[in-house]
Order: sequence, then structure tokens, then C-alpha cells
Amino acid sequence: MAKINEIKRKKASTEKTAQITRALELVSASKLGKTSEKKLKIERYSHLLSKMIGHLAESCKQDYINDYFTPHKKVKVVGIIVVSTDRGLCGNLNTQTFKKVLEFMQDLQNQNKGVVICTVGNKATSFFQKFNLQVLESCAKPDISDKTVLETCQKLIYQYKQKNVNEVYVFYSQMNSILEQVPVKKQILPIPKIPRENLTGLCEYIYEPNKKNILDTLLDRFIRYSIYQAVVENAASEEAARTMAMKNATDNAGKIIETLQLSVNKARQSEITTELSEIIGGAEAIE
Amino acid sequence: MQDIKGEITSIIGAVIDVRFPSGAVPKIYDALVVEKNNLTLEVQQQLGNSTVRTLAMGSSDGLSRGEKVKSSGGPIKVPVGKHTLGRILDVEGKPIDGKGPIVATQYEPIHKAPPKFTSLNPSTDILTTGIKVIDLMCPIAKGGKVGCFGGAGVGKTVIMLELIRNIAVESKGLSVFAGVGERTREGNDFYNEMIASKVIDKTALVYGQMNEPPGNRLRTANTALTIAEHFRDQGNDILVFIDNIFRFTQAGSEVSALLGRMPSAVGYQPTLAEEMGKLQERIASTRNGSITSVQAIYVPADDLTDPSPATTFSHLDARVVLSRQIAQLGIYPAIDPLDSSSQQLNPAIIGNRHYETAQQVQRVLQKYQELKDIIAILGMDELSDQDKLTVQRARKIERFFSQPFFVAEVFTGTEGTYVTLEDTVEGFRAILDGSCDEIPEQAFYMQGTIEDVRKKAKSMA
Repeated sequence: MAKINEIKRKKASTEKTAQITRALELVSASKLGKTSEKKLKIERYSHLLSKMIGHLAESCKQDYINDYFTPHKKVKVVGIIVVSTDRGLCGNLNTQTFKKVLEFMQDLQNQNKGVVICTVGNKATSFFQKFNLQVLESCAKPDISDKTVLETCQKLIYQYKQKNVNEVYVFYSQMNSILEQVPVKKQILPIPKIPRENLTGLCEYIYEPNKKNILDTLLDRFIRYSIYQAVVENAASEEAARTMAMKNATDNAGKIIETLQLSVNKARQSEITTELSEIIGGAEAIE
Repeated sequence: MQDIKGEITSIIGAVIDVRFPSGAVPKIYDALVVEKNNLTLEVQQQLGNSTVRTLAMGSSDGLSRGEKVKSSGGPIKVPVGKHTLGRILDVEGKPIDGKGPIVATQYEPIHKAPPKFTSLNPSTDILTTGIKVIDLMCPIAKGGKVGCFGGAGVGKTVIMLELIRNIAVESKGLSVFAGVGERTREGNDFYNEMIASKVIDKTALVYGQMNEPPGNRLRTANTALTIAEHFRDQGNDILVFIDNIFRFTQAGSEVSALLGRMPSAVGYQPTLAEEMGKLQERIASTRNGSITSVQAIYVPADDLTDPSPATTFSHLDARVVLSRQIAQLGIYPAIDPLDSSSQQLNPAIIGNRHYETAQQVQRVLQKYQELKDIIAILGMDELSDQDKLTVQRARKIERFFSQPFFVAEVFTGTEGTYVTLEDTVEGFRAILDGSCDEIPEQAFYMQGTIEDVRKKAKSMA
């Protein structure tokens, strides 16, 4: 009897878990639509932005060179921005990103380079706190309409300008499809060379007040948007990963519930059999 | 005495009713002998009307009503003392190893009262078995009673054999083995094992295996205990092995209804607790000497709440519980570290270090058990780092509990290991302290000491 109750209790708790995971799956699926849309928009925007900057830079190459473009001859300290989610229940999304970051950090260590880390999202913050690292700034709640993320990373860019940091990379998860999210390392600073074929279809414009001022403003914006894009991309990945993870969890729970139900039935059946045989045996013994 | 003869009045299987002349009714547990074929009967009940109900210690085939039965005037008596060593006896103390009759000077009745509680002498010395999981989680005391619980085919007999090998061979003391209702082949294996390890001349064996009638299986353990008690009262430290105590209950249950008793829960005899108590209380250590007993206990349908194992549970000092889930993982010995327990698991007896280690191992495994549900539904990735570490260590501990057995060398092809208590505690401490976090969990499988694990890890890398 005790056995049946125990299995039943377990079944009830599994059912509750399944209920939650199913709800999470639906919520994430609906959020996924919104974030994917946003992701597409920002992709288009930053593509155009990079085209513009590439063009501008090309045209004023001779007389103007920005710090953002020139690679440092000797890289001593590398800045890393890790974008993660705030909450779990999204499969191995964060773990994969962190793994890539750790591999990269190992490489840097082998080359005797210093690391400055900037984390976005609770998961990254708590993960990198464990290591004995210089965490420059961390922020939680990467709400994609919130600019605090950018302010956080601004410090790293400031450090770059001060030449305390020589390179900046951002790590995030890129959503290729709902089934596939890949951890990605993107170089932010110095700005990688924009390939020439992207620059076609633009003609010479006249800039006011001058090319230099516009380029400076645009570059600031470009860097901020590169980071912002990573955050948006990661948010889309998060929703996709969570949808899948929760779907799997719901399926797993379903399987467990099925086997538990089977064992409840079996236990009940054997109990009835035992009781019956006891009654029959007892009755026969009396005769 | 010879003059008093009774007559068989009814035969139902192993249960035979005999009527005696009035005034000459034999006592309960008295042995009667059928004149025709020398079959021994044991009186179970006095039915009134000068009739007694008896249990046959052998096949009742070919008997007929009216046959003459004489009373021997006392319970079954079996030879005891040094002449029984190296021999195989049946329930009546007759040799069945084909080595001629036993010339014993002393005979003792198989029914005796348990020692008085004033003469009991519980010991707290720990007996190292060399089996890691037993030594760590359910240490065995010298003079203690150990039960080895397990369903069909999870390895009770193998653990028994290993314990016999490790304790009997290392201790060089006298031992008595009772084979109750198990396979005859296993009894034979055991006999040969004893000969091979040269301890046969210190061992008395009493067999009533599964081919024998219920009467034999019901009393085989008593015969073995009588021999053991005699050695104990002479001041020896004795080891008693019983394989399998469930068959004793089963034999009782087979004849219970025939004896006219109303079946109780799950069809067992209503006298289950009494029968078990009478037998178990005799397995006790006194001031004269100690009896350390290891009993295999079959668990029907893997259900520990079944009346038979449940009744036996309370008589034991240490309980080694074998689990099918662990056997299915391929971890042998398939001992469940959370279900197994021992009265000796007490810091005052085993010391703080051992106790703490055992407790922590228990906690880690318990936690892992709880996390298993989460892992099954959400996957490993959702666990916190702390929990992930716990899971990894728990899996390593689970694997480290396995070890190759000497008696299983022929099956596994690997040499058996005997792990000292210090090495055992040391090994589990190392896992708990995290100094083995780098070692892959496969390296922990089927190894002896933690040093063996490290060596294995190196050879894997």
C-alpha cells in the first residue's frame, strides 16, 4: 500500500513539473517570434551601418586614422564581453558559450595575455565570479530594449580608448535556426576590416560638416550596436533554446509519467491478487 | 522405551499423524522413527486422543497407514565436536559426503533454548571484510549478525562466498555452513571452494538443499546451530553461514497449512515471527565464545516489506541490502549503500573519521537520488555547478563501490582485491574532498584502492 502511494506522489509531482515546462515552452515560443523579428531588424540596420562606415573610412583613409581601426602591435590585455541569459531552463546554451570563452581564455593565458571581463546576464555573472578574474563590470537583466547593457560595455570601450585594453571580443550565442544555436566569438575592437565587396553600390557623397566628425560619431554608434546586436541575437537564441529544452522536458516528463502509471497499475494489481489469494487460502483452511 | 509403539493414522505429504497408546504420547519436538524405513518424524502438535501430528524428515513416499512408529524419547540428536569438521551432514547429522560414518563422542538435541540474556556478550570489535561498501557503510562486528538481502539473481551467494573467503580464510577460525534450500550445485561449489582454500578441516557443513522435503529444510539451520553452539560453549569464536534463511520460512509455510494453521499475511504461517525468533535468538555470542553469523536472505519480488525479510530484519545487527537497480548498472557487489545499515555505524565504535566519511557518502548519494528526477526531465545542464559536482562525485562513489571478487575470478577474469579498512576510508575521503574530481568516472569501476584508480586513470589517459 505504501508503495502505491509513493509512486502516486511521485507521479503527481512529475505531472506538475510537466505542466510548468509546457507553460514555459508556450511562453518562449511566443516570445521567440518577437525577438526574431527584432533580430532581423537590427541585422539589417548594422549591415547598412557597416557599409556606410566602410565607405566613409575608405574615402578618408589618407588623411584620417581612427584608434578603432588600428590593431595594436603588442596585445597585452584582452577585453571579453560575455552575453548570457538571466535565467536557466534553456538547455546548454550558456554552458556552450562559457566553454568557448574558457577555451579562448586558456589560449590567452598561454600567450601571457591579461583578461578583462564584462558580463551581461546573471548566468555569466555568477559563472565568472568563481574564477579569480578581473570582472570590470557586470549587469543583469539584458532586457533587449534596455540601454544599461550598452552603458556597461561602454566602460570596456573607454578602457580601450585609454589603451588599457588592446582588443575587445564579444561572446554570445547565435541563432541559426530554432534547433541550432552556436556560440560565436565576434571581434569588436579594433574594428575588423570591412570586406570590399560589401562596399559596392555606393557613390561619393559630400559630407557636412566633415567626414571626420561623422565618422567618429558613426564609429561610436557602430561599436555600441555591434554589442547590442550580440545581446539581441543571444536573446533570440535564448527563446529558441528554451522552447526546445522545455519541449524535451515535457516529453521526458510524459515518458516518466507513463512508466509511473504502469507501475501504479502493477502494484495495485498485485495487491489485489495477494489479497484475493489470502482470502481464498484462509477460507479453504477453515473448511 | 522401545516397547511404546504408535501407528500411522494419516499421511498428507510431509505431515503424518501417529496414534500412540494412551499415556505414552510423545512430547513436542520428540523424534519418532518409522520402523519400516527408518524415516524420522518430528512431533509438532498433540492433537488429543493420544494422537500427535508430526513432520517427516525425509520423503514420506511409500508409507501406509497402520505402520508402526517408535518413539526415541527425545528430540533429534546430531553429532557435535571436532568429528564434524570437514564433513557434510544432513539434517539428522548423518554424513552425506560418502566418507564413512561419523564417530562422534557427543550428541546434542537440535532444539535448545537460546542463551540467557545475562550470559550474552555483545562485542564491538569490527571485522574487516575487505569489501569496500560493506566495511564503509555497514561494518560487521565480531559476534554480530549480518543479513544479506537480495532478490533472485543479484548476487547474494557470491557475496556470501566472498565473505567466507575473506573472513574464514583470514581469521583461520572454525566455521559452520548451513545450506538451506538452495541449489545443490552451489553447495558443491562451496565444498570445493573450501577444499581449494584449505579451510575444509575447520568447517562443518550441513546441507538440506532445495530437493529435500520441507521438514529437512525447516530443521537444517537448527542442526548447524547445534554444532556451532557446541564449539562456542567450548570457548571458540565461530563463524556461521546460512544460505538461505528465507528457505527456512518457506519450508515452514509449506507445512503450515498442512499442520492445520490458518495462513496469515501473504500466505505465510501465523507463527512466522515465533519460528524466526526461536532460531535467530540461538545465534548469539556469549561470555564463552562468539558466533558471527552471515545469513543470506532471499527477498521475494524485491519487496523488502514482505513478511519474511521484514521479520528477519529486526534480528540483525548489520543489513547488507542488494539492489536490482545497481546490479543492472553492472556494479558488483550490487549493494545498496542507502538501504544497507549497521548498528556499528557509530562514531564511538568505528571512530569519527570513518563515521563522518560514511555519513557524507550517504548525503552525497541521497542528494544524487533527489537530483535524478530533475536530470531525467530537464537534463544535466539545468543543475547548478554545485549540484553538478555532487552528481559527478556521487557517480564516482557508486562506481568505486564496485570491486572484483576473489570468488568471481573465473567469471570476471580479473583478480580479486582485498581492501583494508584504512584504504577504504581513505579512498572515499579522497573522492569527497574533491582530490579525484579530475579522474574520469570509468576509472573508478572495478578497482580496489584509490591508488588503483589513479593508476587506471593514468593508463587510460
